Amino acid sequence: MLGKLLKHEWKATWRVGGIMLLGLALVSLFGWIAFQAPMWQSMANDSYYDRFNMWDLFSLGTLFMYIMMLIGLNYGIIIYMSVRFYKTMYTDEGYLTHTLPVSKHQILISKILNSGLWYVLMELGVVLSVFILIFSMMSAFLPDGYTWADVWDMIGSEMWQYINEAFRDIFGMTAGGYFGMLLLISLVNPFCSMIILFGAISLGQLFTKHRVLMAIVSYVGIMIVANIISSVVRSVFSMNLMMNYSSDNALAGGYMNVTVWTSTILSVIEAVGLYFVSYYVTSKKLNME
Amino acid sequence: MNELVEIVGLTKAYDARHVAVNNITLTLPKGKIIGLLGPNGSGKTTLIKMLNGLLTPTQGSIMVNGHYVGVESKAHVAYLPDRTYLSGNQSIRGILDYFVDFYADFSRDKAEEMLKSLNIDPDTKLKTLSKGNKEKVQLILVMSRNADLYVLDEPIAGVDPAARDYILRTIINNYNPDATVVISTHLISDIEQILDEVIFMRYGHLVLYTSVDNIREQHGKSVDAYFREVFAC
Repeated sequence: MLGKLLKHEWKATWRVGGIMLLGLALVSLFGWIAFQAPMWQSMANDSYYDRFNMWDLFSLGTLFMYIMMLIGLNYGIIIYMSVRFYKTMYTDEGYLTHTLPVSKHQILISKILNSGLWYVLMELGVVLSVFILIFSMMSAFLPDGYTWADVWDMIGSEMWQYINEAFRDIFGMTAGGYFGMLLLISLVNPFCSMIILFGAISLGQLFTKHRVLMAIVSYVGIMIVANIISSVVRSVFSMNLMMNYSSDNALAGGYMNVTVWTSTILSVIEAVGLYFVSYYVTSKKLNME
Repeated sequence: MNELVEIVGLTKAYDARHVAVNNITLTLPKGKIIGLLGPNGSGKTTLIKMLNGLLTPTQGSIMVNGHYVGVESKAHVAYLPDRTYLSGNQSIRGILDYFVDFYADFSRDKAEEMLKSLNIDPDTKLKTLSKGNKEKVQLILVMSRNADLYVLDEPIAGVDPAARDYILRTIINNYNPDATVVISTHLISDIEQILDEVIFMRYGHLVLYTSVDNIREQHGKSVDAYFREVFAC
């Protein structure tokens, strides 16, 4: 039954998710075009530029829009999935969801997997889009007659060796290992975020009135408590780091590692806890109005 | 064993002053059409929601065909709520796919045949249908299941008399004869002719559970007339 639930979750969300990804692709294309404006070339060549025209205005406007849209799409997918969870679980549509011959775990897992997957896709899209934009911007700043192949040759294997050494010095691992770790975290975090949001929405259902408002209050409350705990844990580890650090670089890298791991581990703990809150509310405290 | 639904000491209290269903104990047999009758606020919908796992009882228990309300019971109960519970953005065909996937007892052919008789195109989106047709589609989905228990909450409220006739005909012609149908309504005169038994509820209490024949024989009145007498203001 989980497979069927997932299939129908996907069928119900792929259009909106797809439109958002398409929007992201269009915004990225405009962002790329924006860096073709003569203003950037002129800046790259360090030459005096006094012919600011419509094309440059379009470029600046597009880049502003790009940033706004990127933020909007990222939050858009979270809001869309949260609203869908609320609608299909706790409003009239919940009458169908909760009378299906499936377990509450299956219902929750299908919604978490589907929304988490869309969040991951959106995150990947955003990362890809930013890379495209950086590539486009750096292309504008490439000296005349140089291509990316030339840059690649110049970086060479020695540069990679240097980068890896720097990462070992700062983070205690190679650049590949570090980015692998970040990738793993960015795959886990979207699922945790959705579970936490769903848990807050479910907590709102424990109130007899103003359930949406109480869901928002619950979410804010969870975030405040999580931030306080995170700060305390980070402080403890940071103090330990400060007493045992070998170099300034290692201290900075160690602090970043502590920050990343603390927030990730706490997110996972919160997610596990709030998953069971959602399960408890849907199986023991369900009160459809 | 002829018992289909066993309700024991069922209570739903929202708080100390609001007790929607108060300590009901009731056993419903198989193969009957039962009217769940009572004025507004008598606890009919609350009882139905608990029967379908949409409300958690404060006390007591419900068993359907030997199973407590849960995955097993839901596979055998076909429920028509008193509201549109399907997403308006879905096409009827999409909704049929959904029911085929989740309910082993759902007959797609039967549903399509009934839709055809109403000239409803399966490719239509639910939100484009009139209120009456939306209710008919929901009823068709419920009655296309070969369930043990059909629970219909106010199936004829808010529709015109012709639609009422269609709905009642659909119920009579399509329910599994071995199954029990529970119909909640306050439009008693419209459904009286199809009922075998009635449950009267008031202020969350069970007032009466008896057969329609018994009311006619003992009180010499129709169910509608007897209801008016019992619930006279």
